[in-house]
Amino acid sequence: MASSPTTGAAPASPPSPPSPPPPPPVDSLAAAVLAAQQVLILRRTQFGSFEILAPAPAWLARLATFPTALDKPFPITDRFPFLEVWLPEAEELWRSGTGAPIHSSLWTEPTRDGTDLHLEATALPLQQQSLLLIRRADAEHTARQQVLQLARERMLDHERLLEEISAKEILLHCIIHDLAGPLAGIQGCLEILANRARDAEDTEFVQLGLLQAGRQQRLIRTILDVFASHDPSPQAPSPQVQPSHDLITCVDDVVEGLRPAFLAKGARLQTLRSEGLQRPGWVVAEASRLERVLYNLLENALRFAPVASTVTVHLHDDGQWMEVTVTDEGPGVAPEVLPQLFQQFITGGRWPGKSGLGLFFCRITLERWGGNIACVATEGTGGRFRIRLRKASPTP
Amino acid sequence: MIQRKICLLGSFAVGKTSLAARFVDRPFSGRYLTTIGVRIDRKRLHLAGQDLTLLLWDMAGEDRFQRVEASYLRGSAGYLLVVDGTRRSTLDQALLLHERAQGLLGPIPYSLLLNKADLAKDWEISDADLSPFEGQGGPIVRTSAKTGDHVDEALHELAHRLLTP
Ligand SMILES: Nc1nc2c(ncn2[C@@H]2O[C@H](COP(=O)(O)OP(=O)(O)OP(=O)(O)O)[C@@H](O)[C@H]2O)c(=O)[nH]1
Ligand SMILES: [Mg+2]
Repeated sequence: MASSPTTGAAPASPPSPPSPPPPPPVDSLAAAVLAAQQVLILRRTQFGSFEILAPAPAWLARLATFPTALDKPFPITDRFPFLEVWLPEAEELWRSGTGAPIHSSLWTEPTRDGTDLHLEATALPLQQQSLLLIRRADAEHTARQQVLQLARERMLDHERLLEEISAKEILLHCIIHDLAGPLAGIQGCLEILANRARDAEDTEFVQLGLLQAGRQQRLIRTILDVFASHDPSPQAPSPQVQPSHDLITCVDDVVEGLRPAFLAKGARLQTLRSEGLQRPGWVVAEASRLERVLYNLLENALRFAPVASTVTVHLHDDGQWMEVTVTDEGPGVAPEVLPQLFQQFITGGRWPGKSGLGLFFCRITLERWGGNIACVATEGTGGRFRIRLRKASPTP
Repeated sequence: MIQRKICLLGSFAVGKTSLAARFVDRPFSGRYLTTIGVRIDRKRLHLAGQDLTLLLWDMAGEDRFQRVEASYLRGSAGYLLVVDGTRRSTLDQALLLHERAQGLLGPIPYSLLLNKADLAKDWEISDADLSPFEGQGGPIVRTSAKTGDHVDEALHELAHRLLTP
């Protein structure tokens, strides 16, 4: 078999790296300037170790890993382990021989004297040399430290505050829950007494007691509902099965329930229905909460109703919505109160003796069913609140 | 001389710098000074007849302002995941960091440190919360950088596993 002529005897071995030209001498003044900058200047040798070029800055001797024999080239990552993660990037730049210098991120080295040195490295190809500069970066460190420190302390404070609030809410929830406990017993006793009443006066007092017990129970349920509403977003109508309820019967029940309270205050309570209103008036709502919404509105109206005035409940079907409007002849709602009227805990002279949760409860409850509430009259014309409920077909 | 790199990973203010200080016998400081980038400490140990230097990479805590750079994990032989036992959210953060570290480095040795064990009355982590870490091969240790409880033991135990794979 003929062999083709070969030009070389041995297989080509990888060429040894060309040795770079020796570094140019550093002028003594330039050296002094560099020293004043406190920069450590290193040159990468062809074998990948580094040697110190100019006089080393004073901080170098404070490092726990220095000094040892510094006159010979040394593996840089032995001294600055941090550079291990950044060096591949620098090597690429040095290999290309040109390009803008690149900087490492900041890192911190402890010193022998127990303080910290904040450092930054720069890779720089210059006059065919692969140069590595390491300098103190205290100013950058301080600047970033201050910003981050503040942000994080605020986040910790915020976390602590949220925890405190939630602990308090749980406690409040328990207290209110416990307050409701004895009510059922009180109501039971009053009902027994109602059956045994000896005369009209007895009956009147017992009925008053029952009325107040009922009010307190609704108040407590409202507060508990408001607590429960903090978890799910009250914005969107609940996607679950939507219960429906007959609004007309519900209004009638509430009006009947409150008649004695109106009587006691000497105010009239009347119900009007728009022409053509069909019974039953099915709406998207849950019975017991809808009742409490109506109680809230009527009790508010009663609170502001002057003696011998009339509170009117008007029922209307506008085709899309079922509407209930409650109108009183009181002072109405001051315009400056309007924007916060349906927020949590509004109180003040306008709403004496209120927990500040009633209208908030009405709003979030109605909104959850896809309905809404509005105050449709202002100061001077009496109070007028309108609620709208989505019409529904009866729950099967 | 054998040298190994160990990273301290965890959310901000969980006590990574305080633990690193304990490891190298610097005194505990109650003051919070957030770490920028990474701080590198060296700890010499004599274990199983061998001299060992641990390079402790105390990383900046991760949060929405600052992310732990993946490249910093390069070359780690093991890591300590640090959680603040009084802040439940730092456990979720630790799980994310753990998954990231395992993804980058493979199944290397680690330990989960539930730090600030001295603050028992504010403790927010139950055994059930720890279930994602069960059977993952890393011990779960309650430490206190403040009192020094279980701090050295946790480091030595991890160092042992680095030497005997
Ligand atoms: N009580 C108590 N406090 C601790 C403990 N460990 C750390 N701390 C405190 O927690 C705060 C945060 O500690 P650092 O060690 O700075 O936390 P870090 O994880 O390094 O924080 P970053 O560098 O921001 O990520 C400081 O105020 C420490 O004093 C501990 O075991 N017990
Ligand atoms: Mg730190």
